[in-house]
This record gives sequence, C-alpha cells and structure tokens, in this order.
Amino acid sequence: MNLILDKISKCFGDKIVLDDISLELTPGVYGILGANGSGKTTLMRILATVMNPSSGHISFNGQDINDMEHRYRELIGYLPQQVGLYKSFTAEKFLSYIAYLKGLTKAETQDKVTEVLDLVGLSEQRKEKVGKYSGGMKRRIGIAQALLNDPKLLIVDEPTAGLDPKERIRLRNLLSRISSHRIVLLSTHIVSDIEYIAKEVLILKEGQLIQKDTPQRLLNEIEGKVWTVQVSEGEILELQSKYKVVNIALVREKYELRILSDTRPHIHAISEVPHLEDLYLYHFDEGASQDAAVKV
Amino acid sequence: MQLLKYELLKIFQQKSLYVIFLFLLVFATLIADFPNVDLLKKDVYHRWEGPLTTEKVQQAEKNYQVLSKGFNLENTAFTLTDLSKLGMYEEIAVLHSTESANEKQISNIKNEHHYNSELQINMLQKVDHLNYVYNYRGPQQMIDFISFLSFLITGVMLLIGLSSIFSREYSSGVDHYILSTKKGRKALVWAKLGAALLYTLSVVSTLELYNFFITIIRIGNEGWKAPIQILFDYHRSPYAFNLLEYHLIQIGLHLLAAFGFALLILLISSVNKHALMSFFISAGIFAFPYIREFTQVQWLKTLLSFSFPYVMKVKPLFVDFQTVNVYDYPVLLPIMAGIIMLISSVIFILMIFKVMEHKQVTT
Repeated sequence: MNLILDKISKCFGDKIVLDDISLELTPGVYGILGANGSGKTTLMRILATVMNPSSGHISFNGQDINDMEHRYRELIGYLPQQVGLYKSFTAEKFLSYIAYLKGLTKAETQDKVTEVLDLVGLSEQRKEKVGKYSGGMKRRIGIAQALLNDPKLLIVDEPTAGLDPKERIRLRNLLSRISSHRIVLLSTHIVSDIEYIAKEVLILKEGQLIQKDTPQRLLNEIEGKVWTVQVSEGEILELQSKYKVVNIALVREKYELRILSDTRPHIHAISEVPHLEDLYLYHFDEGASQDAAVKV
Repeated sequence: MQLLKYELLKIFQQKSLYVIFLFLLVFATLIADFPNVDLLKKDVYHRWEGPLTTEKVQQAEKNYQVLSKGFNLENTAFTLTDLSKLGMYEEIAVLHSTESANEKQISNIKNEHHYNSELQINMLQKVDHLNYVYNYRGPQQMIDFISFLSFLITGVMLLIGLSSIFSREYSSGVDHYILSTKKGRKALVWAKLGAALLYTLSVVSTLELYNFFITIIRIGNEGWKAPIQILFDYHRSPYAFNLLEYHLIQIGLHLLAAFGFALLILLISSVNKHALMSFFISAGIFAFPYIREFTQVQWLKTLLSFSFPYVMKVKPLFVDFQTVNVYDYPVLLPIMAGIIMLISSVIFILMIFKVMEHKQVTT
C-alpha cells in the first residue's frame, strides 16, 4: 500500500501555500512538523479531498485519487483541525450519522460506533449531547469519527490539541497500535506527540518539504549542535543575543540554558543528545532566544 | 434511507419552525372573515339555492329595488343581514348576465385574428353556463386562502426551514467530514433534496388541512360543483373547471412552485456559509416579483407571472385568458408556468450537485 504525491502545489491568489511537494507514504505513522502557515493543514485537506491542489497528482496504489473518487474516500479517515459537531446530537447519534456518510450499513454502524466510543473512552457519555462536552471530549469524538470506517489512510490534523496529558498519551498509543497496517499522517505542534511513534517526520517550511526522514536520521543532522550551560543571570542576555537559546531553567540558583549552536557557545557548555524539539526549533523558532521561558 | 432520516431530523428539530408556524396560523385565523357574517350568508344562500329561473331573477331584482330604496333615506344603515341579501341579489343578476357576456366576448374574438383567438373561442365555448345558484362560500374560502395567505406562509416556512440546510454544515465545520466521506457529495445531496421536498410537502399539506377544517367548521363544505366563473375574480376565466377541479389543480401548481422554491433555497444555501445570508438572499428572490403589482409594462407582468410567489398563488394564471406565443403556437399560462417550474427545478438540482461535487472547504 502506498500513497504518492507528485508535485503537489496549492496557491491562493498570488500566495503559494504548498510548493511542489513530492513524496511517498507507506504504512506507519508520519509526523508533519511545521510552523503556523507552513502548509500542513492545506496538505492534509488536499489528501482528505476537501481541497483541490492547484497542480500535481496524488495516487493511491497506482491509481489517481481523482479517478477513484468515492473509492478513495472510502479508504480515508480525516480529523480536521477544528472539530465540527451538531450540538443537539448525542455522541452516538452523531457518530451514526457520520458512519452512514461513510457508507456503513445499519448493523455495521451500531457495532462500530460502540467500538470507537470505547477506543476513545466515551462509552459512558454516549447518550449525552455533544454540545455539553468539554474541548477534549469533542476532540475525542472527532478522532472516533475518523476511525469509523477502519481507514487505510488516517489523516489527523493537530489531534492532541485540547487534550490533557493522559489523553495525549492514550491517543499516541492508539495511533501507534493501529499504524501497522495503515498510513497515519499526523500534524502537530507538540513534538513529543510524534517523537516516539513516527516512522518518518516531514518538515514543512513556507510550503516546501525541507526534510523527510526517520527521527533518528533527522536528529543526526543536529548531533553536536545542542548544548547546555549553567550561567549567572547577567550572562543570559549576552548568550541570547549571540545564540539560539531554546530553553532556560533555574537549577540550584544558576540558570541552565539549552542552546543550539554549531560551535561550543560557552567554555563550560556541555554537548547534549538532541531531541526532536531541538530539531523543530532549529528549523523554525527564529525568536527562540527571546522567547525561551524560564523553567524552575 | 438512513441519511434521509437524519436530514429530516435536522430540519424538524428546529424549534423556531413550530413557534413561527403556530403564530402564522393564529394570524391567518384572526384575519379571516368574522364567523357571524358567514352564517348569515349561508342562510341567504340556502333560500335562493337551485336552478336560476326567470322567476328567481325577477324576484331578486324586485327585492333588490325594495331593499336599496330604504338605503336612500337619510340616517339609515344596512344590517349585516341586509348586506348579505343585497350581495345575493347582485350575484343573481351577474349570473343571469354572464351567458350573454360570454357570447358577446366570443363574437368579439371572432373578429380578431390573433395567433391565440381560436384557442380562446374553443375554451370559452366549453365554459359551463352559470344557470344555478350555489352556496359556494366554503370552496371560495379554500381557494382564496391559497392565493391570499397560504403561498405567503409556505414561502416563509420554506425560508426558515431550509435556508440553513447546507450553510449549517459549513458554519458548524461538519462539512470537513461530509466532503471527505464516500456519500458526502452525492448520496447526502439526494438525502437533503428528499428531506427538503418532504418538508415542503408537509408544510403545504398541513396548511391545506388547516384550510379544510377551519372552512368546514366556519362555513361548510358545499358548492364544489359550481364553475369557477362563479367566483368574482374568475368571471372572465376561460377555464371550464368546477371549483373542486380547480382547487386540485391549484394545490398541484402551488406544490410544484413550492418545490421549485425549496430547491432554489437549497442551491443558495449550498453556496453560502451563513444561514442568515441564505435566508435574506432567498427572501429577496421571493419578494422581488411583487414589483409586478406596480408595473404597467405588460411583458414584465407576464414574465413575473412565472415567478415563484405568483405561481404559488396560482390565481394570476387562471383569472384571464393568457398565452405565451411559442412559434405562433399559443401555450396557456398555467401550462407554461408548470413547465418553467419543472425545468427550473431540474436546473437547480443539477446545479446543487455541481456545487457539491466541486465544493472545497474554506476555513
């Protein structure tokens, strides 16, 4: 099973949102990293067929998805960034409605709705109106509807937004568990969501795919470029002006700075094992030095 | 079928529909004729009902003279009973004169040589002579209700019930799911079309039931066999229908136009993200043809006869002999209106499918 994107571009007027994206996806989790406006959501919408590319083709197992039409839509599960719901519907009723839209029969729908509600931990609230749900519960309903048709291609845009840490871990485990026989495409700002489950990470910047590789190989790129150093308060400003400081933590009355730099930024700096978050900030966070928060 | 159920549920769970419908029915009941007047008329009709004989015409004329003489005296006023009687005498006089008026009209047309003269003569020759006094107040009330209030209430109910049918999906964000699913672009559109037409049917049927029962309770259900020319507004009508036949045709055309308007609302809703915007655009289209009341331009008047409110009223299509010249072939206005409603409905359906086939999310 493979999904191939061939020179996909999307323009809104003069603005190029996606620029000549080509890649191949096979079963496993793909994490898409990118700053706001990098084109993540547009790419996901194009893959979910709710938006057309300005140019380029997408094929699934060698067939153009435009020719496949509803046969392609039958294979996908899509969670958009904003979860849309009918407030007056109960969770059960809403999921049944989406199940019918996905072409499930009445008998299949009943079983599948029960199964996905169980998966996202909302079985007990199935008779409650979704309008009364918390943000996290609404997100879980969104995830549940995406899984109703047992999709071969699962497209989830910021699935962990609004979820508490326990729910995030639960979702991460769920995606990891179901990814063995399907393609899961996941975009997020929260790097830890994909750090341990992504088969490959796609890095989008200003509409261009600048990196696509396994997390480990991507991290190799910044190997030897991540440093920590403990300094006094007076030295912070000087280091911030010269280097990309991604984190500041107060440790035993000293300030520990995490710095991205090609060279040793301070005589006492120690080289650290890079994390995906460092990679993200290495590529995107231009204002990291100024914005780095102090953790105590 | 399941999708149709859900679409019906989405329409019928709008609580505002019931509140506004109830309000409109109360309003319609309040502005209808005062029941006492109808009872008085009923009594008068029963006394004169039957074949229109020369004796009856002469008696009515005599009674009219006596009654109207009293009115010429100072400080006198007619009672409601007197007014009902006067109306009856006038009506008998009009009935008596219609046969000769009809013949005169036919001979006048014979001297004209328009593309539609022959058709008009044929139709007028088939019109039944008004040689019977009927109590037709019940059917009249039901027929008038459609052209006076029913079309307006139906229009309002369609606007309220259907303006949000697609817009709701866009504004709630559910369109993301819908457009990415197997049945979201075709089967769902059929379901929405079906639900909209069933809703329209339910509005028209409920109004007709209301119309029927309120008329029976207040006035009665006699006189359906009378020719439509017995109604004042239809004196010049060339259609040889009795009141029952006409009312059935009236409901059919009214429903057809209501279906067409419902489909137009759906089309507007399918391209609008905001239900309120859909509502106002559709309401504007519904209200615009009222300029017909203020224009003297004949072609514009004829053109606006084919607009939704006027076809839903039905009456403007039947009160007179009006045809459209199609390559020198006269097509009667009601037939042309029916054809236009059908064609426009098919066009709206095709356009809705086209819109949904290419629909993309914007937010």
